[in-house]
Amino acid sequence: MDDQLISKYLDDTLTAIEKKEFDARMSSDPTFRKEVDAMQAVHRMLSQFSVQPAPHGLESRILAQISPRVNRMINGIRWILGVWALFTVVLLVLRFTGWVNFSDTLMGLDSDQLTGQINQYQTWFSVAISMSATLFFLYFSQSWIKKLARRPGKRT
Amino acid sequence: MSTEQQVIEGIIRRDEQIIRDFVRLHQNYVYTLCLRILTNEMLAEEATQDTFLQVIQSMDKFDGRSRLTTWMYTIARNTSINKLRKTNRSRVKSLDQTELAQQPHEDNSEKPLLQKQQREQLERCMQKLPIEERETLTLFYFKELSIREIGEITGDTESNIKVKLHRGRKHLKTILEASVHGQIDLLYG
Repeated sequence: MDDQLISKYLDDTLTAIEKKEFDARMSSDPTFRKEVDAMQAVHRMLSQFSVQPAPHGLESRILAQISPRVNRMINGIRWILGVWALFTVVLLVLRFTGWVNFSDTLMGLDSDQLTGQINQYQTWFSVAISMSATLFFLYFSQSWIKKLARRPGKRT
Repeated sequence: MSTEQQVIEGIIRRDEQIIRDFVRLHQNYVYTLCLRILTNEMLAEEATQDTFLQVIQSMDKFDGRSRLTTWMYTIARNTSINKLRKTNRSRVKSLDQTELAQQPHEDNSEKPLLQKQQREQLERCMQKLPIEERETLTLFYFKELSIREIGEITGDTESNIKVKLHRGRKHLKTILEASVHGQIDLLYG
């Protein structure tokens, strides 16, 4: 009960009657007064140190991330990655629909059984590697660039 | 047109001066909230950056149902809590283990030593409070949010906020008194 009353006092939300009773209690009850003084000290500390200063250079680091130059760079990289991914997809479609026979066209070999078999394995392997590398790079490069841009500076 | 509306429109059209002023005006508040939730300077700085980026990039989605600051603090709180979960730091880390005591901030050098000690003492004790009390006390003592707005940010009812405020202050008093062996007047100077 006392605690709630003290909280209301600190927040200046006591009614006129409550305030009168509160003041009377403060004059007559030293224990109550001591408790109020302590809570008031906490209240003052919280008010005085309500805000911590942000680290030096934080503002510049935030602004750097939204600057047109950084955004242009990120968009440029996205565009290159997009074209790369599209190229991979086109190659995959051509390869697996059989529209282009890579082993004959690229290597100029006759499609005898042995060479054809080897080429098939090689193509499968290179397609898998190329696709994984593309997706891997696509995913990590952007978060890496963003992390680099927002890296906190050394504090002096 | 209200000032807040001008700020919102300026941020949407990426007006560098408006964004600069906006970040400058709010960075200490956002950083303080993130720091009090995360209790780690480096993580708080990252969370502050993430918050501002999200605010700026999603400003066109801001529906104006709350004040801009309320929306921004909600983002800051969610960002910090997500970061806290990610880094698995659900328990309060002691300030002694963070860089706060060793790393002076730009405006601390000119302040009296007593004030600096009091600030550090308060932060140290604040970190011993449960996270809900820390965030409620922090938001309340920014002195710019109503109880209802604090409730919007934390998802609590007004009566819950009042209870957390009351408990938080009382809890903090106990921790502060223990830290100065019952003589709280010494602490306040």
